[in-house]
Amino acid sequence: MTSSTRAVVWRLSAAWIVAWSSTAGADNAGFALAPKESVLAVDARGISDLLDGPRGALVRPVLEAFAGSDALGTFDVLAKRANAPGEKVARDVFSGRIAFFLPSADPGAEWLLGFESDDQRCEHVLRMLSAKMSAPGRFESAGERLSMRRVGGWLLIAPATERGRALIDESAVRVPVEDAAKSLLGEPLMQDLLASDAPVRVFMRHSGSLGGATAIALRGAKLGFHAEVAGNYESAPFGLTPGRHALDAHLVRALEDRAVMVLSNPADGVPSKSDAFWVALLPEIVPPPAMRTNLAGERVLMIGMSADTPMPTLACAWRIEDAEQAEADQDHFMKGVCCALGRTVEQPRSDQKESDLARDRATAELAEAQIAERRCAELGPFADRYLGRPLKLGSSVLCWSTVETPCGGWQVYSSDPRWLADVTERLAASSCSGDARPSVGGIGFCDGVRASAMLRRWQPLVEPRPDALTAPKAPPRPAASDRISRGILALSDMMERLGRVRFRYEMPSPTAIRAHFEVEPQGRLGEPARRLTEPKPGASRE
Amino acid sequence: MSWRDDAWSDAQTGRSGFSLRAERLLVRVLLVLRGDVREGAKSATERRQDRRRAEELADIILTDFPRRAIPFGIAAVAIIVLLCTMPLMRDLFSGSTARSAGVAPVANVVESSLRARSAEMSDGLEALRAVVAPFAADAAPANEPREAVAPCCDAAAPFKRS
Repeated sequence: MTSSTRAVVWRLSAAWIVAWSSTAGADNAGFALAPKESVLAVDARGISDLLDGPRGALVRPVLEAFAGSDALGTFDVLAKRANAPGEKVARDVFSGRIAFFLPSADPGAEWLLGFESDDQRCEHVLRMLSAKMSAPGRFESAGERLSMRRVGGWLLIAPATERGRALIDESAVRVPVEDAAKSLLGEPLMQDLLASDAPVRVFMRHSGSLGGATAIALRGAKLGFHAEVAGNYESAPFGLTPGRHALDAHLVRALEDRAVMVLSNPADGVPSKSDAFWVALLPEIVPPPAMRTNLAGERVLMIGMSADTPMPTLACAWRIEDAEQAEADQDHFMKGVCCALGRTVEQPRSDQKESDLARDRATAELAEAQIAERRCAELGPFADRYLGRPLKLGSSVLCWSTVETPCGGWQVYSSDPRWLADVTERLAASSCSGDARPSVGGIGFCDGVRASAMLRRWQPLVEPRPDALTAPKAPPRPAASDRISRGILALSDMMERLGRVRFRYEMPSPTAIRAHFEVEPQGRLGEPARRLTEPKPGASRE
Repeated sequence: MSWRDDAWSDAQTGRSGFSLRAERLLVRVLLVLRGDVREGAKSATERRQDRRRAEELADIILTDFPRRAIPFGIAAVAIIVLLCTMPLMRDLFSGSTARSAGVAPVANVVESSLRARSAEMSDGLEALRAVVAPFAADAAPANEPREAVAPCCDAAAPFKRS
């Protein structure tokens, strides 16, 4: 190879490296705008992918539930100002890259929104915001109280305040030269997210005891979208326990036809620290070592809706190796648990002796009868006493069954006999699939429509409204209760519109979590905002 | 007594003489325009006939014209008003569709809507956390030793071992 050829090759290589590095650098340009201490940053470089075609109709109700109808209504105003159809404006605005960040968590903190845009798109945005040029490259919108600056292909927008303009200028400096030392590009918790090619990426920093940060990468899917979530925290999140096990995803899918929510995760039967309160109240709930040796390491928690009362029903199933042994173990175990429940609920009156042989005998006979029926009614009073009446779980009945399957079986416990029968049937039919079992920390799903209906009926912690007929001059419901009502309504609204959410997660360490969500939005608007309906008088006194 | 009788006077009609004269003049002008006034009518009889015919015509005009013309007039005015205010009405309706966004700055509406919504969701999540908290308190880290498991103890039962 001659020296001139070498020089040409060297120059071409150098040009390619420069081009590649500038492209790679531009890939995280949205996060480069945000200062390193930002608490929220969004880099959406293909939001039109998420809103494309029929998926747009599915995602819009979710956005509306998240942001409120007023916020989405502004889009119509912007479309009118741009004098163009909404779809065209959406295509103009969302076809390029959008960046957004909040520099701090203060309630009145300023924000910055950036559009990476060509001149035509920039002009559209400026027209929509009724902006006027104040200096070369700088614009002000008096009506919107916004300040804007065009720099390096970006249109940066912030509130027209001193701090807002300073944010724009600070970010503008980082547009031509991305500075990892001063931007989120240098944030250690961001590094995995920076490598992701997802069209929409979100970074959230947490304050308080949780600490750390959550990173979310969103992608469009055929019927909705997928989210990859990575969280690194300072304390253990959500009471989840690390560990992984081969879990039966087929069974979880099979329960989608009836359950509100299902969570399958590894379990060895040893109580964790979080069970300390219950173990102190009911030492009998600790399974003996012989019983634990029969456990196969998989536990499935299934939440349903009670058909009779406005409360959720719970069932917990433990996969076991030997069903015959499990049945005997379970009855023996539950005999102790039922006695413990009776002991905690039944307190001797002041005129009664602590030790009363006749009473103890009657209690024992009742317990024997309950064991024979495999149910005990003290769970409801126990829940009322130790969880509080506002949780409205007083109708719960502890019942259990042993399910035998060709591949072992299940020990099942439930708070409702009908729900027990439902899940028992499904466990018997669907738990020996030959499908590959992912070794993860947990898998499950939440059916948003059913969860929403259940929450609206149940209304935990919400005080019942005084009956207008029997107490016409009753005091109004306290404001705190109204706040809870509205909160539950907002949450149920969001769940309903999200539709079905399937998830799986694993925890590489006690303070880190990696989760994958598949969201199939319901695709229709929820019920209009209204107060939660109270049950009709007498409806619960069937 | 009819207002056409000769005895009809300014005082009886309660109207000013000027008004009546103006009315009569208007009618005569109309008659001239219709060509009904005889140019050569000089005699007193002809003048009386002209006067009678003029008053009969005035009677018709003053009694029938308002009844026939006013509905058309009102309709015309309504159409004009509607046409003139249509752009304003359109703005009004589109403004109400966009709720308060038409009035308040867009950024403020979005921000306040987001804040209100997130506050409600946060209240809802707190309520759910309060429900779930007794069952999912902070888990023990895996590397920490677990507390010794209390054995299932019959002595804890409320009745004595038989």
